[in-house]
Amino acid sequence: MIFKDQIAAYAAAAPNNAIRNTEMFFQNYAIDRLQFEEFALRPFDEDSTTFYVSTVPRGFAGSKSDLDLILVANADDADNGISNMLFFNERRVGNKVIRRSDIAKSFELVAAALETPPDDRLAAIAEVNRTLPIKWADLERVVNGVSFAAGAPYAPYLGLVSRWTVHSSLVNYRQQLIFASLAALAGSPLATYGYMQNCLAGAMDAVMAACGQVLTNTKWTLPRWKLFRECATGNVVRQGIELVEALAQTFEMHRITTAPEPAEASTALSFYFDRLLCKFESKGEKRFVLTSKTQSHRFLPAATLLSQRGRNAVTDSKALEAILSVPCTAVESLDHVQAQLALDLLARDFIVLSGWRVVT
Amino acid sequence: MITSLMARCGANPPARALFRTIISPSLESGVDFYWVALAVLKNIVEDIEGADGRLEYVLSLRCRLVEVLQQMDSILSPANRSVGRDHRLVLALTEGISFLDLSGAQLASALRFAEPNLSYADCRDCLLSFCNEVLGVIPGPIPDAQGPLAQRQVLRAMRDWSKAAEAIGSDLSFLEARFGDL
Repeated sequence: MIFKDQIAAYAAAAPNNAIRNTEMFFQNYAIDRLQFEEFALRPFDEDSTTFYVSTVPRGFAGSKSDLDLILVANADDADNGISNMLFFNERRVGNKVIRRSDIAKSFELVAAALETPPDDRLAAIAEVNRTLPIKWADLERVVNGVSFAAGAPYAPYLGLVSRWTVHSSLVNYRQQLIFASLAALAGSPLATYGYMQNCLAGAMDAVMAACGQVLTNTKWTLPRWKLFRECATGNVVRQGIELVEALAQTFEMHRITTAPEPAEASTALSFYFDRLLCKFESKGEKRFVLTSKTQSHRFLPAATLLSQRGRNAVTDSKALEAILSVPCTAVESLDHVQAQLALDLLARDFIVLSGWRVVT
Repeated sequence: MITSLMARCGANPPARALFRTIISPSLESGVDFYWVALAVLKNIVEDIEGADGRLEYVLSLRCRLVEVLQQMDSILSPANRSVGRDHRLVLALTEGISFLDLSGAQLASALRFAEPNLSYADCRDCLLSFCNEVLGVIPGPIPDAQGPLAQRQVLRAMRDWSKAAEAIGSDLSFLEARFGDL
């Protein structure tokens, strides 16, 4: 489910790339690195290793980028997650402390979830997402980070982080595709376009992650994709890039006018993901379901009042029944009013689509 | 404001006048609205200013900006009808941003969503003008959470909000998590 040779090549080059990118950053913006490192460490007396993380080691830092640091503390009782914001040469410096033991524990949990049998894997991943001792974004950042003096000791975990990201990106891709199909059914080209932007971002993240390139902050997905599509090698990877680009082109042309049916337009790309990365299918007869805190109203025969955390929606119970009875992978049987209602209810978390199962 | 982007794309009456008519449904909502403005919206402006010629980056930031405006809009809506992040872009483009008195089509037009092959400079300038107008129509000072005096300004704002909350028995505990994220 990942391109192992691509990940191996990327992981092998990553530490040196991160070191070079960091050096270039200090050179380009004429910042005294030694002076900066002394300044950044001053507020902390923990026994720790400090990492440059995020845009600086990744080579995306610009004239106004923050200098983000993570201090990996050796002590198990170090204050976890404390952070502060400093300024050096008018540039913002973000400092965050994370315990080394929590990073290790997080890797264990992620690895265990990914080894869960396919049927239960997505549930296991969702559970771990809720219980990781540190934020997923921080785990990704430290894996892609480079320490002040000791290279990139967490780079060997790139494969693990990549597999996880392939899963989550593909789930996002599938969900957004369903939202886009509903929007197309509802007759809204702008909404279809909007959901397809999210869908394409999921597809781009999945292909890049399959090659070891992961960055959690989605504002970087498009710039990363531009570089990736220019530099990627290997026929299989190039094929994926071409399929994503073709889909993007299709919907780029249809922002205002009627767009093609999203699921149909993305058949080739979905097949590519199924065959090469990770195949999902609907679990049993799973359909759209009311969220756990949402209850349909028992006393109104013609309308259904949905209430969640104080938010209300009154809707036609027959339309709701139609939505709840259709498999979420076959939304084309809904009419345009039902499709719009389904989107409204999904947007406000009254119903969810779930029940994906990993096949391979 | 008459010659502003918003006016040019058809917003009427001018957003500033409209904003004055909106009353936050609660102190919590008002504080939350300003928090998103100071912590997220201003951050996006800074990101746009530092985009350094990267078109794809400003295109991503355009979507992020729309999502944040939708988030702020739903905070101010009477029922605080928050929507999932996956749907914010679409809801803004279809239903518009009521606190700015912009329909979805007007928002798409103001941010030039329908224009293919937009250049970096055009996209950046359009986004910055739009953001500055949005920040301009929000009444009162928005604390600076990004600059060297950020901590002082944010702490001062939080102290003021806490006093107000205490006086009327509001619960601002949700700010604790937001502060951590910041």
